[in-house]
Amino acid sequence: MDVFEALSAMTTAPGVTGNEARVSEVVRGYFRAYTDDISVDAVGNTYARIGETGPTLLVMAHMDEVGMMVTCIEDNGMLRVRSVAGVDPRVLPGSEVTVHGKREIRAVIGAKPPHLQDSGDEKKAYTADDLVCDTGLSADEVNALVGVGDNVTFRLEPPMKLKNSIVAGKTFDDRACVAVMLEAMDILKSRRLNCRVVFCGSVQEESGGLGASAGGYNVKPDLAVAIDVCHAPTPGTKPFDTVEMDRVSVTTGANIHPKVFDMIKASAEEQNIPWETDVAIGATGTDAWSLQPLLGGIPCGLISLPLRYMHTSVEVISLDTLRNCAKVIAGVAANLGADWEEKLCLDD
Amino acid sequence: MLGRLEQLTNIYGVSGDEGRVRKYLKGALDDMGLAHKTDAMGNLIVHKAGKGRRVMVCAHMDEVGMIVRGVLENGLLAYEAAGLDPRVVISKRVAVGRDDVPGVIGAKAIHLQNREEFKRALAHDELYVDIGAKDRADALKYVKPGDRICFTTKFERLGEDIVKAKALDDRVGCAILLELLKNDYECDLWAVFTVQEELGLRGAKAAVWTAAPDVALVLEGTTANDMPKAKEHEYVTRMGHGPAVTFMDGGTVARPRMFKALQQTAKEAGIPYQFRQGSRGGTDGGAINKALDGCVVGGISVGCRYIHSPASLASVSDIQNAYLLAHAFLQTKKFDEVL
Repeated sequence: MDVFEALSAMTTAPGVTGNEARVSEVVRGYFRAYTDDISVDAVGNTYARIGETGPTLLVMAHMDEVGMMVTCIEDNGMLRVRSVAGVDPRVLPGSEVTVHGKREIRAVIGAKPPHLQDSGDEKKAYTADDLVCDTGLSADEVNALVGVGDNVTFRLEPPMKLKNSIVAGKTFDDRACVAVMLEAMDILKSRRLNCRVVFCGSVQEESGGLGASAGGYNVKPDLAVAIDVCHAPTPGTKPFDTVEMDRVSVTTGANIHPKVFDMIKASAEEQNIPWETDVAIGATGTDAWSLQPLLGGIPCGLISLPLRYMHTSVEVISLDTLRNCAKVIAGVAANLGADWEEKLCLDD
Repeated sequence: MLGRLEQLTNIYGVSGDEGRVRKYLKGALDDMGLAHKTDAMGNLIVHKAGKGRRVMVCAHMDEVGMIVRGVLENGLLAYEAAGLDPRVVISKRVAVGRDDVPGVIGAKAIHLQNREEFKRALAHDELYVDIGAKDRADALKYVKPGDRICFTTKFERLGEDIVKAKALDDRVGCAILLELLKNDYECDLWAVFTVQEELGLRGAKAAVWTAAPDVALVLEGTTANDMPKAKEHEYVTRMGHGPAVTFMDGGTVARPRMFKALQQTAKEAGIPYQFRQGSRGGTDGGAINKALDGCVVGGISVGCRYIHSPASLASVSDIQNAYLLAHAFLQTKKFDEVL
């Protein structure tokens, strides 16, 4: 599988939290290479199933992205926008965006030129109130094409290759981890499985995990592993808030079943994959947090792909680490068999 | 002209490193059969010798951008910027150096910021260019201190009349000047594509001695601030309302006769125009009018929204009308009137 090509296709499909239909369609296209057992549930979660017998492992990565929404159309046709689930308004001035009206409309978020600023202005952070989204269209055209509530995303453009198999682009959170699932399916297609694996592209992770709740309920897995992105070091970050770019992050803490953690760790070590423990005492801010208490409790694990500049249009990841995440999750599935219940017994 | 503008705005040419813009323009001038020379600073000068007054028409080739200062141990590039609000560079794609090494400018994730940080804008010395290098030594294989850093925004048509691009300030001027050079005028014409305008009109300061004009005309992309919350007197210019005639900018007070002559020309030719209603922001005119024993300078500007940011907008009809106004002015030979 050409993972860069898959990332390009998935990150150029819009899927702001609550509106994931377009990206789901693209994800299903990739799932089809590995199985015919594909479905979409009532909230939009998109599933692919492989394996016929044994315990059910749910692997989940979310399809939705942070974005914006049109809140007002000014008299001159300029749009006012607000964040949906976590875009920092300070990354927007001078950015190109796509307005998802009756058709896709290219636009820019305006920034006041330095010539017109008062001294000290450049030190004040922009807030959403300061910003306008400019389509260059007349007010009449805008009113015919755009309505309040329409989504606005970072410009839908494919990622770019930096040096050393590092890539930069929009929405690697969490489409890069959907790509991890595809890579894992690619590895597992030649393996005989003693478990069932349900891969799920979930919805609405960024707005609190509706997709994970519904998905866990629908699949009723014996165990689940969420795949998400975590922070890689950037200037100003503190130690232990981040995991190095070349390592697979494996989370431990109250959200994580210790035996699922052990399974993930064993898989990484068997394959000599560099990994690091990420510690979270409570909430992990991922689908694993929503999945854990469902149906009387689901043993959960969490694998993360380190990423720089989260929730900007230039999120940066390593494709090598992406592939390593896939190897780790594939190893977990390959090792899973009839003895799964013993393996999950908690040590008292 | 629009095709030229597309190619011109897509070229990387940060102040002090205008070579690739110059190369493109030289190629265009060669195709037009026009002789040209490049001076010591990099200004590209075309002299169409003729009778009558010495007339200088100029537009600047450079665009705002950044320069690599050094590389951190972790492989990130520290930079210095000129003419750029640090708030517009975050979350953008860039190209570094003559090899166009791809890079991005990120910022600490919103999740890892405390409330105080959230209210504060980051400064240039807190931001870095990320090219995916493993460490300092790895980065230095691809880039070096002194490499220019440029936004990579591509020219596109948005609405019927609107184009989006980086560097509309002042590649619109370059495109118009190139178009004017297709025509013959009854004057001694000195067309100058200047360098380093954004660093303090440095190119024009030099070129004006070579051209030694009686009359000069500066073609610029200027600010359009026709925003929803702005009051009418704060607009500077309005996009789509015709080329703007300058009465004053940061470095020039237009000579009343020149100001009048440009308006008169527009009226006679039936070209819509507006005033550049702002006194801030300089143009090459500021350097030219102080040179020699004081040259008469006029400014024709295209109002562009969001200049000095990675993505600015301009109106196609404004660009065309700016060309027509400059053309009409050169044709009507009001040179003696304005002196």
